[in-house]
Amino acid sequence: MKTYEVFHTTINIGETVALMIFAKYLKMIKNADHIVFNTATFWEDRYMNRSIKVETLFKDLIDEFIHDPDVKSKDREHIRKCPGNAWVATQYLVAKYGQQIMPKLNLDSSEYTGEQYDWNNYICFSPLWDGEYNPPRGMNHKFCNKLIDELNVTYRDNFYVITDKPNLVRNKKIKIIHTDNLYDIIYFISKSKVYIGGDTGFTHFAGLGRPRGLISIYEEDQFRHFNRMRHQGLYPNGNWNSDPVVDRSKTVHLHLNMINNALSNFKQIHHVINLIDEERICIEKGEWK
Amino acid sequence: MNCTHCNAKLKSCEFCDGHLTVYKTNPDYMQCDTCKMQVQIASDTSFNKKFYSDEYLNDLEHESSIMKINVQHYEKLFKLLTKNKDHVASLLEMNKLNIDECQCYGGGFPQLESFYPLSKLTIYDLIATQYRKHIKVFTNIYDTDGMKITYTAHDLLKGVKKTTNPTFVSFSHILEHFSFQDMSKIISSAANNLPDGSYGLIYQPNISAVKGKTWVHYNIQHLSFLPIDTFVKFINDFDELEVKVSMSYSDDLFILFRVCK
Repeated sequence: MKTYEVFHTTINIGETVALMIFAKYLKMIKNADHIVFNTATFWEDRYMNRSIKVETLFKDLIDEFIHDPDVKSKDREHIRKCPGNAWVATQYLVAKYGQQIMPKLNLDSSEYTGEQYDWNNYICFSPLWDGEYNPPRGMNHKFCNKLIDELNVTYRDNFYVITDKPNLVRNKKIKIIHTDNLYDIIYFISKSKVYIGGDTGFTHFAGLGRPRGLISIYEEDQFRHFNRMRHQGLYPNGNWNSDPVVDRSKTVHLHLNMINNALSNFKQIHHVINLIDEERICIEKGEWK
Repeated sequence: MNCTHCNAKLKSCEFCDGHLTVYKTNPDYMQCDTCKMQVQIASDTSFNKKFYSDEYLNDLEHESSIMKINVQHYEKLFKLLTKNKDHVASLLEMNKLNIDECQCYGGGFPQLESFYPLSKLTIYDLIATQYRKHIKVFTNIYDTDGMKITYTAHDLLKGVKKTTNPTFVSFSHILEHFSFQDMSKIISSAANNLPDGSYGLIYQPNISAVKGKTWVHYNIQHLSFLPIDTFVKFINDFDELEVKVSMSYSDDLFILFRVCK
């Protein structure tokens, strides 16, 4: 029996997504019989108490969740497998093997503890205030508030902001999703019509959640972080970046580049939302199947 | 067909082989009796090359004032296109095929292309360096935020670049600068060099909108004009190309075609 434990040296929320894509690759392409995921390495302090519920989200993919703080335990019989640079690897693997290796999130409504919303019919924006550990990818406050105000004017009833810093939202009438419960946030993002976010884990989860639209607002030139020799040596045939991996058959994706931590107009964001609305109208009118 | 006076062979239409006669409204052009294509009598491609390398973009103030008017024109056009179900379907398919870049041939300042929900515009132009130098004139008027714009020098007579992945190419106000023969070569290169699933956009003056000799698009740089029906037929005649959207707008025509292989 081929048993693999998937691991990565650093794991944030986004890297979890990358690891799960890698796990699906091992299962589908490498015919792994059993996939193990150790929740002890990083979840302990940062995420376990924030209810990310990986056991639920990836119930259909991971065969065994272990909780072993002794990360380098040699007693384990399974093969520990790391994808390398998680972003480059997953983009490469999905480009090579297609969307079959993108796991589906198991969104169990009984685990969801938040309010009920008009599912699949709202737009949500998760501002990346400042980008604490990587300033170039952060969004400046003025830009975030401008975008929030504009989206609120156009889509008032169906617009929400997801943030852990609600005090930074200038307009106090904005509907804010503010919770420590990560599973609820992922559930909410995945059931949105359009998700707008920065270079963060939520955006990567949105890729797996397959909302109808995903707009990723990234720093101007993210390629500078990907040294060709160091990060791309294994996968040289492409300019891989840290864009979310998206199931294009389900999600309309638009990548936008900020200049000086901001976009000054939101024309293209509106175009994507209009495109999705027009698609729905065509389907409702029976013009498309 | 031969001349009734001197029996010399008269020029016939390169598209449909119809009779070319001097167009009464503007005798600088000949019009085909059958397909209504118009070609400039003194057509000279080398003039175009010289004009664009020596003189164009010298008067930036003038260029800027034209763009300020054009921006509303393109905005209204794109609003119309967003309600066109075939155009919506095409954009959705482009997204599905991971097309997030437009290669703008002879694009200069990519006025129409800047409205598309794309991440990158790559402009292949004869005078790419000059356009790159003055890009601020364009970006001050058109909203291109979020898009990466790059320029590469390219002579369109050499055809469309070969790509392996599906691509979106545009020919906005460029094909009328070529003779019908050259234009055929360019479109043919798109049919040959682009893979299945690629899309192409053509935007240019609509000869059916001519009201008189003073029509703004009648000038020495414009060598051939095809009416929209002829243009659609011309594109569909290529085995690899299929017109998805065609419409007249203002005094221009818009065509979106797909490469089907």
